[in-house]
Amino acid sequence: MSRRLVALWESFWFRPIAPHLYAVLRIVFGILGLAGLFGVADLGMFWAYDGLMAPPHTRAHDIVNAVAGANAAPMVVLLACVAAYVLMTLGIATPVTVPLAFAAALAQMHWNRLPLSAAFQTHLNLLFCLALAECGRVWSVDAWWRRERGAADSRPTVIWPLRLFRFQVAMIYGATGLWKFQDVHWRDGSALHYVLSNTQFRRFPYDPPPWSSELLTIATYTTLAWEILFPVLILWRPTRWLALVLGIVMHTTMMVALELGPFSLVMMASYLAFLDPDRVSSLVRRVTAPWQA
Amino acid sequence: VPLRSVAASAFICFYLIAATTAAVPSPAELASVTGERYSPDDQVSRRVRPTLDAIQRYTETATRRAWEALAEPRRIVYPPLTRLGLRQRWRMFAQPPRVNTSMAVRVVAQRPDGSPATAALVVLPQLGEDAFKGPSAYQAGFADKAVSNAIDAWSQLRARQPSAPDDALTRFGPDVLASIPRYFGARLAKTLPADARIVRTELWQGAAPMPRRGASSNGPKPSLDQLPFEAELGTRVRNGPSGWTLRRIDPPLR
Repeated sequence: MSRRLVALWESFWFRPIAPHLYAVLRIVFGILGLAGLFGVADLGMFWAYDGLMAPPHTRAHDIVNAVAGANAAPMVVLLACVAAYVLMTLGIATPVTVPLAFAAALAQMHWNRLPLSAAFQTHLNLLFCLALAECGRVWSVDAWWRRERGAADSRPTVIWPLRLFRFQVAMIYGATGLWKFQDVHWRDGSALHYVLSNTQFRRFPYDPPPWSSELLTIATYTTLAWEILFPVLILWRPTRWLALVLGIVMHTTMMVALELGPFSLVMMASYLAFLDPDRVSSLVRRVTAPWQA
Repeated sequence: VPLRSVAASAFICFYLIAATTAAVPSPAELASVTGERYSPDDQVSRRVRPTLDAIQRYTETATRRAWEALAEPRRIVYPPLTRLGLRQRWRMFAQPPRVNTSMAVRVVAQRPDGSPATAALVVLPQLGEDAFKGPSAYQAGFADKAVSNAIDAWSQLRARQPSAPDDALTRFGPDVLASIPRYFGARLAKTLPADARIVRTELWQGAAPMPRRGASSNGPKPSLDQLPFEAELGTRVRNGPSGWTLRRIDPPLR
């Protein structure tokens, strides 16, 4: 019995998979990291000590100030973050640069947390899972360099970082669904009415019209049910597709109606992790076969 | 079983337990989201809400029990998770505000001949309440988030500890609100005559309830030019260390 359990555990967490899906996630999340930095690219506003930030109070400030000097420190941190994401996206020294990108994101958070939202936190948590994976075996400068030297390495890699990534995505939806369920405005169906009336986030300068009331109530309940059930729906393939398609519809609608920075893009990009890694790999081989011939 | 798999398995178990434990809200946090209803029921919610309310009582109890049961694991997993920045507080729009908040910064200066010179700027929402937010609003969204995070952290600090010093530590750092008048005040100062001496910088907060579900709205709101700053519209909330004041105004700015 215990042997069988160990074998089950082994096959669930340590099954070998093709490395292409990790490469896709590395590239997409590297680009999304740069998109996040583009949002806070104003050096004077978000990185300088006289910008929109609390006075220096973390060890990150002490370290960077000591190394680069207080005047150059904001520029050094910003450039380090950009460099880490560029290296990660291109796949240069990938085993080092993906954890480095995570460390850079952490440094950004310690430097100035004020402009950061759930989009950043989601990106950071998912980046942590990617930092545990071997993301540079294919579609990277590393892979190209190895191929040039006749030492190409597209061996399978292990699935457990991908499973943790999926778990984290499911956790985000399940937890936010349960948080929302505690709030009376989600239970009485009026939450989306207030979200769309919020002048900080809404894209169009109009409050929801009275005739849309019941439509928004139904949308509120659908959102709530989808978020709470997401961790369950993704367990079985047919319902997984339902959860993901519904997610794309929800996040696209949010992106159209609300200005939430890169949040919707980060969440939709995370859905790539739910693709079958071996199918992705064989699809890639089929598509690239004519060029390789 | 290879040693590497054993180590990875230990890490996987730790991560699953840590993330799950950290995602369970504390009773105090739970109490903060269970507010009062603001809108009357419509035809759909009249049928659904009573059932959801009944279920919520059980989920709330279950969450409180889970919090108590996880006290020991929480003590172990919190420090490494916090150090790695891997928070699991996924409260996105979990408690949507029913009040729209706006903020303005005003610099009051005096010229050598004694005449006043002032300059003001809406800083939340950066693009104004009546603006369409296209793709170019992407960066302004980050500035809005910085300002709203600062005011939220400061308001929570005041609600929790009314006698806390102005520069007390919040989760965003110490003296979190001071950066808003400092940064925007410096920008506004450049628009004043060169010989003007800045007397004070003010931070104004506007707040107005959102229309209830089903109610008509989109009525006119005062613009910054129409706002009678000198009138006693607002309540002085705080004297800042650098001589700025925070005042509440109602309704919000356009």
